[in-house]
Amino acid sequence: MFQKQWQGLKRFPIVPLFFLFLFGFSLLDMLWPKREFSELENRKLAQEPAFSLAGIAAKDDPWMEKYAEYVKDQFAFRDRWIDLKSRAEAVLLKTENNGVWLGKDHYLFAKYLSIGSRFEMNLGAVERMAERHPGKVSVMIVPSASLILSEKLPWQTPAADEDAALDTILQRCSGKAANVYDLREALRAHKEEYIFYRTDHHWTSDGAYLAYEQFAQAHPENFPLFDRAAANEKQVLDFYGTNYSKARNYNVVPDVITYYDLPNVLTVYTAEADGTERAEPGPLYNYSDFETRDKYKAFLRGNNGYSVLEGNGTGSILVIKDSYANAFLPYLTADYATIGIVDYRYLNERVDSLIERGGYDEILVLYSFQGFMNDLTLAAKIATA
Amino acid sequence: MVFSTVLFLFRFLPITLALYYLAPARWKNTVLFLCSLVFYSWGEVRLFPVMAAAILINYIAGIGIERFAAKPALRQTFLLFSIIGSLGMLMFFKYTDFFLRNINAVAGTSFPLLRLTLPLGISFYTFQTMSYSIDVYRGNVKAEYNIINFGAYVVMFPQLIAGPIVKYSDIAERLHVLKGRVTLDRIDESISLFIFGLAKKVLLADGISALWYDVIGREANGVWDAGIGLANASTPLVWLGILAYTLQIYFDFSGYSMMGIGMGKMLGFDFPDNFDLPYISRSITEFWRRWHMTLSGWFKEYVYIPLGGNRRGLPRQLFNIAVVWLLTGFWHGANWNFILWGLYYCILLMIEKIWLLPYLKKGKIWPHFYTMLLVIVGWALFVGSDRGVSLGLLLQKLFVPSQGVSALYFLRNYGVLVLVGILCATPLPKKIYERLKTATLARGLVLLLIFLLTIAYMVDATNSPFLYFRF
Repeated sequence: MFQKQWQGLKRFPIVPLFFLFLFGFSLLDMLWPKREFSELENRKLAQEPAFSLAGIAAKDDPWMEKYAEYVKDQFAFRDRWIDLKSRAEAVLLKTENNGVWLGKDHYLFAKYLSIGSRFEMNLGAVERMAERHPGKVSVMIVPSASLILSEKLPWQTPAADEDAALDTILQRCSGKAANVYDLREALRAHKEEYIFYRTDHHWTSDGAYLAYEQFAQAHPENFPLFDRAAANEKQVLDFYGTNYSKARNYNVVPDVITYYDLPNVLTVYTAEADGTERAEPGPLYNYSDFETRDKYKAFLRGNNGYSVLEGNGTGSILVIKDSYANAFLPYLTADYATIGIVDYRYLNERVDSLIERGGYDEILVLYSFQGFMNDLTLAAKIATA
Repeated sequence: MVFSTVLFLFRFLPITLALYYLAPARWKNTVLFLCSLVFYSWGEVRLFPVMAAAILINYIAGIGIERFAAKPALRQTFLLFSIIGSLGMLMFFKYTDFFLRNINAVAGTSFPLLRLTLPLGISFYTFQTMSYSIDVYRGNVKAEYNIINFGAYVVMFPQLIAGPIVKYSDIAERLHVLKGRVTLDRIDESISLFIFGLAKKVLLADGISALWYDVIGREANGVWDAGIGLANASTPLVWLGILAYTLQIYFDFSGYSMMGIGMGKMLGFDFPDNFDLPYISRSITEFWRRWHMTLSGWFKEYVYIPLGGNRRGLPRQLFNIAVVWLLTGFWHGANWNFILWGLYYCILLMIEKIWLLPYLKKGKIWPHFYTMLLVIVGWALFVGSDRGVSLGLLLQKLFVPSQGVSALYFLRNYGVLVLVGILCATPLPKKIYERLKTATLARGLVLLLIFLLTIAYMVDATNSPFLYFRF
């Protein structure tokens, strides 16, 4: 009988090979070590969900879906599979992968085809905050790399009309806000320089400095300018940013992070479960993050709800921001005594309460354009007192 | 559970196959039944009672019809019980809100909508169970007295969710072959079918669909990404988009069917074919003989022929065609655009029947263009109720030249893939693969390469269920 089966398998050699692969790989995958975090994708991977009857019967995101996500995230050789896909996309002559445009000179850009659905709401909220605090609020929405470096985009890329949206911000906030910074001209004038990271969605410290110069110009003449030559400049090599984490292009060229190692103290406030607030003073950077993959996270010790940076100047400013501001804020230490920093993705306190608490003289809304058009948390906390 | 996921491919499938192959012959149907129930419940455990009811109603009806062979009134009662049971469930879950909405609109009432979740695959398995009781009534098949065998037929995972629509008579014989059901030649064939089906879905359908979603927008992680927006797209881009959708729906649906047929063979069953290169057709009549063949076959056997088919003169035949196509359209979705889509094909088929068909048969090249153009316009009607699309705007964009975002980037980015897609809709890949039949090494390498690529795309994919899951 076995003789007969052997003859059969010899006639259909693909059958045993297929089953060997299917069963063998499944077994391997089940035994494969599980990871908490994917360095390459820069995100937490799904963990094995706890099994419960309530979880199975749940209407939203039941246990089964979580389990499917877990198996996918922990799949054996996951990083290699993703590389294989990226290469196959290159063979198909694609100019994008996973929502990232593969630009010229190794630049990667976040793909966006339309203005985000929160743009109007967030802009309206900023207007209302400016009206509530006349003469105090300034607005700085940083243009995307894809707008400033549009020549580096793939051929005929249909990026959303950001120019028009930035014009709208300018037009609607003028007269209400103390200052509306239009950074397009300043950034475009330096577009040949290293003002945006190639692999990351942020601007570099050089790009942020151009914005800082424009910010300083709008202030009185005795406004001291941050002296980069005197500051303790340091560099971190081999930075692979968020756009690379998605695109995973095989011909990537890593970035270099430049930062200014300042002695200023940054106090991060964290809300405790019992309602009290814990203050944690420390350095401006979380140096150990420069050793990890997600190096930009070192700036301001990551994205925190509310923190205060002690400066060497006078007066105080509250900066309502997304992570774009993190490369910009160190420069303000030259000008203010107190720099309050709010990231509303991680804080629930309304803006008027914060202004009162810190007695801030100025307020700056500093977002990247794409962060501003998609932010889900900002409007509710600044629109009304 | 979706076929094109790591979970299905490297957990459910190997475990099920191992249990099924290792089980003694008389336990195979039980294993199949239980594993299929897990497969079904994975998506929707709360709707498990619906499946249980579908099995029980038709199981009882089948036995009733056969037992009371001498009492016509009772037989008919059991048949009605089965049909009302199956159709009733389908109507309730799929169409209640459609009728309520239209009643509200016409009569100005305000009945609240039920907003029910459509049970997975209900459009498919209710048609399958109806085929069973009607065939028993007609005496074409014997009733199934073993509820496990019957349950295994209804909920059998390869064909449960999106076809092919397997009639009970198609697999009744294999269902009772216990020893030697699984054969090496079937498994050998199944591997190619499964891998090519998976590739159609993961590499072609999902890849090409990105073009269409760039135009109309899509939901990603619970957030609506508007894409370019139909209103902002230029006419050439909208045509390119609807061409992409045309390729997507074919590869998506035929890929699923192919995987289903393949896995059926792995389990020792022979399901009917569902697609036969529909886009090479030279008339709409031919198209519908090649597209979703098991659905057309079902309507022909259980609606068109009982109504008299073509045996009662042309006017009656045209009426019968109209009935079938109204139902076909409505089967695809509880929305007016699907009824419109059905009527569209009804009219085209009538025109061909009465006048055009002989000319199409004589033509060489132009019938291909004629057919594809009409099919593509058909998909525009079909997609008209999707989120991000309004049918009026879509038709206007297609037929009234307008400016907007150009098609150039999309041609550049998706061009190669679309071209590969078009080639794969022709007989070419099959011809090449047939040549490899004797060269086992080459065939194995082709399968391995494609399989590895599909796994890579699956691992790096955002969730993308099959289009026909909604129907």
